[in-house]
Amino acid sequence: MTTPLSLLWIIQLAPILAFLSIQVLPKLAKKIAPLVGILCSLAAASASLKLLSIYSHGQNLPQQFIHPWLKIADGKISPTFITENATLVVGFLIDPLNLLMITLVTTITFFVQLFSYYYMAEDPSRPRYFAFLSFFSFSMTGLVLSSNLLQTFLFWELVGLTSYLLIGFWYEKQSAATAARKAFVLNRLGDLGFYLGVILLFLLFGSLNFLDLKSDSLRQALSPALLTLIGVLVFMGVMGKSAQFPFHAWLPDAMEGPTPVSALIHSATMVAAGVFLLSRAFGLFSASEQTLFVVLVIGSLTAFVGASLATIQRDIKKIMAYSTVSQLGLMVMAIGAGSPTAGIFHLSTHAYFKALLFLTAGAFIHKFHTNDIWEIGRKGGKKDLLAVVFLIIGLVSLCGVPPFAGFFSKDMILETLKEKNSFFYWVAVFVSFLTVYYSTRLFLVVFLSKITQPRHAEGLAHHDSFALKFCRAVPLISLASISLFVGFLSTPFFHHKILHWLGGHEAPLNPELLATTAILILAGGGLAFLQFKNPEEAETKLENDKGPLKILLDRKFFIDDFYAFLTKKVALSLAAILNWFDRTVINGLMVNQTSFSVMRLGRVASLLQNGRLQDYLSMALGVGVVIIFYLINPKGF
Amino acid sequence: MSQSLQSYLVVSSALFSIGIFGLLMRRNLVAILISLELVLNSASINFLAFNKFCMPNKVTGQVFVIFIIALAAAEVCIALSLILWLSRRKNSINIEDAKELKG
Amino acid sequence: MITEIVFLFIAGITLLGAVLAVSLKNVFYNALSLILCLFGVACLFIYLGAEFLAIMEVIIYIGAISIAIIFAIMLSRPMFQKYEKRDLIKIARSLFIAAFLFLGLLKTLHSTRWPAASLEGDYSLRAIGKALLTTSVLPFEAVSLVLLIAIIGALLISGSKERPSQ
Repeated sequence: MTTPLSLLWIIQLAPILAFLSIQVLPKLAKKIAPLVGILCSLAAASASLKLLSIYSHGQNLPQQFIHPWLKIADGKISPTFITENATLVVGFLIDPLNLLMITLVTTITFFVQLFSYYYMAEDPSRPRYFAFLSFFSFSMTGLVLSSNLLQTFLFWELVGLTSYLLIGFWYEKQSAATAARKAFVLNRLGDLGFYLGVILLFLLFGSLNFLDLKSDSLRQALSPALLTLIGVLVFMGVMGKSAQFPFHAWLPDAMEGPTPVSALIHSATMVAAGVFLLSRAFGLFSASEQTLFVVLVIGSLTAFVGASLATIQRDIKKIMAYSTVSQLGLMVMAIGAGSPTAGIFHLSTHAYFKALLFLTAGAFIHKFHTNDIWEIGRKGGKKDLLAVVFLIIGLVSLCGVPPFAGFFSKDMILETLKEKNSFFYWVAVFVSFLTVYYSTRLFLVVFLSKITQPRHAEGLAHHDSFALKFCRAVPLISLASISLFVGFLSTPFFHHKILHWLGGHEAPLNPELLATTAILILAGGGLAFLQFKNPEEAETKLENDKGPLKILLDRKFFIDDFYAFLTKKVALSLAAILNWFDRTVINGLMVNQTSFSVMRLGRVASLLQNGRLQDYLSMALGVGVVIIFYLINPKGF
Repeated sequence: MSQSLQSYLVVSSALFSIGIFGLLMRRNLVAILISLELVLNSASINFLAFNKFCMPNKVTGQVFVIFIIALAAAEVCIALSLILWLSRRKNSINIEDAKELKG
Repeated sequence: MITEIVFLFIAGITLLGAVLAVSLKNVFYNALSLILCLFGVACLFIYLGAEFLAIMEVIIYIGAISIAIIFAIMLSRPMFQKYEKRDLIKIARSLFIAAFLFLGLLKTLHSTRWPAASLEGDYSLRAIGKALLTTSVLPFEAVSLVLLIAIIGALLISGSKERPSQ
């Protein structure tokens, strides 16, 4: 049972098995849904680790298992086809990028499922939660393991669907339902571009397999303008899924879902799918310089917007959400600058420490029943040692402090950007500065607030069972350790394992960059300390500040207002016009007038039937006379 | 003239047209019936003329005229009883008053 | 020669009777003109060699049918005294149609070549009777049936219980 193909099938099918069994056996599921979910995700995680170990030395890769699915045409549809006929295929692909990604996805899924047992222990709709979570795993693994763009698109859509289902999990809350809808719509908008790109690519190029999408063959087959167009269209899908500017608005609102969902989907896996696609189909994007430039610009905008908006949030999950947006922006910038390796490396480290951060936030939220960082501080956040320690570990990884994971990956990104373009390098530096600032702010507010509402006084204390404590602690510990470990894999100590594997090159630790990083950390941390060493004062200052910068940040750069304008004014007025057209022109003019004119004609014709015999006779005889004349002399007529 | 087929046919055509004219014009039901008789008679003249000038060895035309006369009698019989009945019902024998099938 | 003149005279009488039968306002005069016309038609029958039929025409058409018509005129009480109003459109329409019909028929007559006349023929009563009972026996029987049914029908229609309101 350990052939690669069977392992792939286990990874792919175990989650859907969990989903189906929970849905099909609802009574049984009420009791054991979490167990089913955890076991299946454990199966998937072990299978992927085994797969990783089989291919750990990188031989025989890439390997694909494909099967032709649908033959569209017998010959080439367009002269630039690289295959003999137009056929759609389905299949699995294994290569280093995939293996890294699948390991990441399945392990984080397993930890999140475990944590969810603790987090959702009191929720009555628990089975539905685990069912959807497993369905998400199925979609995500399908996306990662697919061998061609169309299959990726199919699973892409499924992932979007499950995201909608999970964000709106508590659908009775109006805000949750609205947020889910917003996420789905913005995702779909991006997917429109994605699909158009896929169609164009297939019609003009002939193959959607990732192994065939090499820059050289693409440049030979298609013109640069077309390549840019296709690249930008597919990038639109990435923008929707990975919350790039201006499609980022859904991610902060998606925090309405349960926190483990945010940990899994909106920090580690789903939003990473876009970055994964960028690197997977890098041949397509790098075939045109303009596409990469667009990618770079959008990535930098995203990074800047995300980081700046995170600096004034009160909700701990929103801080994390905007932080995710800005880190995704950094990854996209790295790929836009030409180094998919750096992007993917940062993706993997970010996945682990962001999941850790979200789960820590979840621990705080579940214990103190509030999302607001000042409230958490006041209720005694610093007393929860486990959560505080992991918060610290997560935050320092985020800030890029050596020797934690975030340092190595962020460093790699900064190096790549420095080689490419000086302006974007300084943008990334500024974003890193802001990252340190808001992370420190978060920590200081939680840690330094005076406890004014201790839990015991409010009667909120309750004792968790051992299973719940276990499920709360183990994921946090594991994710923290992995965060530490993964970073080291790229250092000289481990022979730059990951980098070789991903095909990148190792770079020596640039002392200039080290110095820049150190300055950033000190500056950001110092500024935050100055402002927030007294959290209560800072809170009042935050409330009372009405300056223009604050307004700009509060209104999220007016993006949401822009979307509201587009939907309410533009789309609805367009719909009103079309409605008028449909009613008046099509219904009133064409349909009604047709029937009215037939009725009028009928009324006119019925005048002929006046019941008088002689009138009928004269009509008949008149026609008879005409016929007689015709018969006499047909030609003279 | 009396030995040419055409003169007889002209007479019968004229009689026919006059009968049609009366049929379409008169409003009195009995007058319409009278015009109908004219039409039937023109047909009889036609038959006899053709019999004499085109097939003189047979009497088919004359036999047919006998039938025409007989049927005209039957028809007048029924028509008159209908007219009487209608006049009793509507108190009028104006054909323009009988338009229940209007519309 | 004289036959020609008489022929023309008789044709004229017939047509005159016909014209009067359709145009006079008093419906009683119409019936009398019909009788005149039928006399003319009977004479034309004699010209065509059908003496028996001429007599039959007089007896049946004039002696029975026209009398029945006069009966009906008399019995349809209020009406025969009323004169019809003129309706010019109707007159014009009917005139138009009738005139064009006549013209069409005339044109047809002129443009066909009729076969040459031959005047021998045995139109005796014996021949007619023989034809009626041998070659045309079926129509003969059918016509008698029709007459029977017509009588029964007339009885049924006019014998209905409806009495006019006085």
